[in-house]
Amino acid sequence: MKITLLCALGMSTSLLVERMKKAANRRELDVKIEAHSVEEIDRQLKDSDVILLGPQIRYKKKELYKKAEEEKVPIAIIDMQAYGATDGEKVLDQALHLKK
Amino acid sequence: MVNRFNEFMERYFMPVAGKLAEQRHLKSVRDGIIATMPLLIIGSVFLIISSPPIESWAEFMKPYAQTLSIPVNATFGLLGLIAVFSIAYSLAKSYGMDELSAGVLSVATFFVATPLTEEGNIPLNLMGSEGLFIAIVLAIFTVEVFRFFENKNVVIRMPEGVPPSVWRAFTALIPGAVIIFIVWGVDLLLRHFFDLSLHGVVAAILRQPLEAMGSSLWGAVIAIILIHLLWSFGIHGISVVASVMAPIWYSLTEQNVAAQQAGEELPYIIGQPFMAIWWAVGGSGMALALTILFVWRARSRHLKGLGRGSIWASFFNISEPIVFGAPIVMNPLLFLPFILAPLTVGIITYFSMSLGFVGKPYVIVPWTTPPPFSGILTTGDWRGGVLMMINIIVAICIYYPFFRLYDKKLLEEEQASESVAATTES
Repeated sequence: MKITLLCALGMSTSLLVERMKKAANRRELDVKIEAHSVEEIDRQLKDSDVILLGPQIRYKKKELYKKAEEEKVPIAIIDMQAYGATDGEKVLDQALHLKK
Repeated sequence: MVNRFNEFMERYFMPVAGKLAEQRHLKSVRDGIIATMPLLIIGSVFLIISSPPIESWAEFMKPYAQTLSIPVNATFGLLGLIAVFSIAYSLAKSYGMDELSAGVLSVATFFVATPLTEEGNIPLNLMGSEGLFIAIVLAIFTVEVFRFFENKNVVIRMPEGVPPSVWRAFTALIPGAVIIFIVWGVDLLLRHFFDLSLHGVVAAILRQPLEAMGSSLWGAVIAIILIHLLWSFGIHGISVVASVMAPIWYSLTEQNVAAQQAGEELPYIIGQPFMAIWWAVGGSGMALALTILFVWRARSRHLKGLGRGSIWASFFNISEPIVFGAPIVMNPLLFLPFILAPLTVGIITYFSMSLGFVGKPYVIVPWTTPPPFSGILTTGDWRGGVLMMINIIVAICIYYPFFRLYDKKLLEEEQASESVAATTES
């Protein structure tokens, strides 16, 4: 399973990705988690199972959701509090919940 | 009250920001110009070497300046030419059209509209930022006409079995001929009847007014306020504002580069380095100042931890951890200094440069370049580093009273919840 986080340039979410990987390790989950620039959404939609968006790019929601729906990939905006706290556990939960 | 305002912003303002950032033509222009970024950074390296900030070294480099300017001319000096291709390319791609044909065609169109020098050479000065705005116009025109023909199906279709590279070339034939004919005809008419050129017309109605606005202190002040308003609602402000302003900022900077090469005084203060670096040390909102306060003076556990966790990100100008972590987003206590600090710093920087205390910025560096190096490199002046340190101190002073209030509030909350926990345990 691959979880992809997208933000403006893929830099700020990469900090969160590290926390999420740790959380996944603790739970002994086999997941791949990556951070990318939102410009890469087309490519990432092809092999991602879940897409999460940084809250700072939620103004692009409409177009990005449309693309994800076309590819049938679940998508959501990262909870702002969890994003702020770089709460890897909580965001991992959000991703896993979406996949169900 | 605060909630109502937030709701209003989410409902009415957010879609507008989204539309602006996603508007197809604006987005293609932005993507096309961003594609030139690596070249501009490479060109900047040669620019610093050929005209270094240290006097004696500059004297030493003088004989080699001509040779060293070759890579600068081939990067900064071709901004317009490269942009016409890459803008047409990204716009055609967004329509799902053949992007390569569109790009190639737009380059030809660009040259059709460019008057040659009296000796019959290609004028280098029109290939750079002077040609940037006409490049934008022509790239969009080319792709739109191309698309019109494709939609109306007025293209030469090849039978099945012809390789794609062959039929692609033919698809572009009819629209390509029409586009070039139109641009050539318009340019000819302008020249014949009004003694004007397409370059001149675009410069007068588009480039000059936009640059006058973009290079003014007021233009920068409005941009800075808008960017931080957006951020305080948790929206990537610079992305939104730059989708409109980036061509103007790049064009201004390229003119500074040309002046620097010619050994003339630099015309502009505002430009790409000013907007990407100078008021954004530690990321938007001069966030490094606030992060330093968190590490240094915070008494609440939340802010101390956040500061320690994000000081490195902040050093490299990534502000999201602070913006969302503190949080600054929707936080009435930090909202005011978050706008005031970069605004004050922007104004101080502007006047330090206009009064000649510090050199004007002309070098483009990656936006992740940390202070004070970004200050020294963008201006090619060691005093730029000093000014940047002063700016950080100013921003710390602006943030300090607000930070104290917020820190105190959090500390009280932490203590309250601890005492609750203690009583329930005992």
